[in-house]
Amino acid sequence: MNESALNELIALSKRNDDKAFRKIVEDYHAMVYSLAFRILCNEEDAKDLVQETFIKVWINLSGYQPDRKFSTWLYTIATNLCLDKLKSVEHRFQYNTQDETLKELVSSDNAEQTIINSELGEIIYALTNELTPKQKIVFTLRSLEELEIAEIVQITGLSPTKIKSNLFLARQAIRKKLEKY
Amino acid sequence: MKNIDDKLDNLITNIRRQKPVLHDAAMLTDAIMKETMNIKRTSKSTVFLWIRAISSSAAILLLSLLLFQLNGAEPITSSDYSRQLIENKIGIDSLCLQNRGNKEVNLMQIYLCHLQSNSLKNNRLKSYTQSITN
Repeated sequence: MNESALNELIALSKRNDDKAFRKIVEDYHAMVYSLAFRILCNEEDAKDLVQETFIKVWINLSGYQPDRKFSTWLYTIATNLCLDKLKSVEHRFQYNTQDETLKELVSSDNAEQTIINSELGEIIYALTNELTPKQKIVFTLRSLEELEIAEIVQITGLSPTKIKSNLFLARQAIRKKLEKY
Repeated sequence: MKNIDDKLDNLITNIRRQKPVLHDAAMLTDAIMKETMNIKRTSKSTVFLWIRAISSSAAILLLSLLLFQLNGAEPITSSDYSRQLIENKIGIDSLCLQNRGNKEVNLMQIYLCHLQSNSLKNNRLKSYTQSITN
């Protein structure tokens, strides 16, 4: 969606146009779901988070400044909600990671094979479950969502140096885990 | 070392390519829309307008009250009966007031008398305790 069309939809949504807001939800829910799933490693939690994110967007849409990138604003809301979830006690669940799937993915050179969500969730969980919430978020935004450091600064409010150090520590921790495969 | 780094990069690339699939997207969209339509948005500007109106009217009211007190209002005085009541209540030496010869006594004067009488009593107590100790 181009910028002017998006701005038009946002302006209409601000005036309570539900059709315009539905279009925004349809265009962006995959992006939010991907981020939420990769951080929370669980389909149901990720769906709940998508819902919570768009409800927050709807409530705070009047405060959105068009000079800011909409996707960055959306990522900020979703990331903050993810951070809250990661810190909450209810989120502490366990996966019985299947080493085979992880081994396959580590050794596979082509990504043609598609794995189902639950397997993907298990793999990401196995790799990142010992990271701190901040490390997990920075790692996901930078390494998996491929966002620029400048954008991560805007989303997380962390300084570039802190982002780099969190990323380094996250990679070190994952690297340590990989040594056994 | 290099091998593990390669493995890590390979793994990250593979995970990145595996996009999680949102199966019931339409249902999720419907649920979001249902939730949002139930939420009544109160615009911040309306709230601020209300706060501004209430605070400015309160400020005007206080200001006019102050001006009324400064210019128009009579000084607060007490009648004989109420003076007696006040004297009894705060234990003022009535002689002090009578010496001043005011029929209508200002509350400030009452308070001053009260202070004076208190200081006299304190001095008396001081000299009494001194005489006992000596």
